[in-house]
Amino acid sequence: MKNSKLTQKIMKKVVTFEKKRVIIWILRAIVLVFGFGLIGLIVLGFVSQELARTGSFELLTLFGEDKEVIAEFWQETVLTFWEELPKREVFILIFSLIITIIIIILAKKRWPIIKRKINGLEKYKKSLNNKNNEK
Amino acid sequence: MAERTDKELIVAIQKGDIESFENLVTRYQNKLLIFIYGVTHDKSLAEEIVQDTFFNIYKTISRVDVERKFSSYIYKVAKNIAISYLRKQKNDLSLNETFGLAAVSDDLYEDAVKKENQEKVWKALNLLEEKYREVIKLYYFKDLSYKEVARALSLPLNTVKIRLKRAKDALRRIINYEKQ
Repeated sequence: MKNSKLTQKIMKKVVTFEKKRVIIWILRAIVLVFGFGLIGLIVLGFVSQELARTGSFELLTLFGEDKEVIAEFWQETVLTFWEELPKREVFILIFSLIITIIIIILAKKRWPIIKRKINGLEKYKKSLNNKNNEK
Repeated sequence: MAERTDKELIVAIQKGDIESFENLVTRYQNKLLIFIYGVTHDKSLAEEIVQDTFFNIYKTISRVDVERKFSSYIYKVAKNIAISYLRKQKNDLSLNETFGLAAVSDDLYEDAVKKENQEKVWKALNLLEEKYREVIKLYYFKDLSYKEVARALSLPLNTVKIRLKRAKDALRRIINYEKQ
């Protein structure tokens, strides 16, 4: 039995499936990173606005003073600053930051595999094109 | 360059090397086709099952345990897919009889090799006298012990043993004769 045709059929199926899987993976990674990143940015903007409105940033000018002054008042200043922070928004900000970092780490870990797959898919695309041209 | 082992190929595929999968396909497709064709007796169906087998294996390649024998695994997957195809077709045949496996051994690759001779054995079996045929069927295909065969046929144990020996000798003679 001549089975190069069968091999081709199997590989075509595999390549189509893999192409779809790689595209979905890339899109998902982009959507997740940008999604959580965007949420983080929006919340950060809101928190900054809120802090600017309440004048909490002025508290931080303490850290531009002499060392002795800083040593005496830093705890109180940090505590006050913390009190004035919009807590819920800050938690959302931290959460989205952590999630974004996790996604980036996982994606970076998986990227060599995806890259190899993309290279493989390129090769198959070329060989399929060559076969079509030969026909 | 030395030919890569199954394990090396699978590890490479798990790391994203699609070409290694093609090597695996070329290595096993003929063996699988013979194995499945022996069951379905239909070339296009066998090809379809082989395609599905490889495709399923590719989809789940990340979960394949490289420490286990791949040949056994691939035959197991192929067998399961063939069974579901046959079920779909509402095939009346008993699946165990189809595969000739009352008890499926772990090493399906070896079974596949054995199966090449199965048809010959079936043909030869039909040429045997009924009393010998029934002993063979009960002992080998229903997987009964000597005692259980004796009980099922209401025969003394020694008679069962003698009939089984004679039946095997007769089968061997028929098969050898047909080979010549």
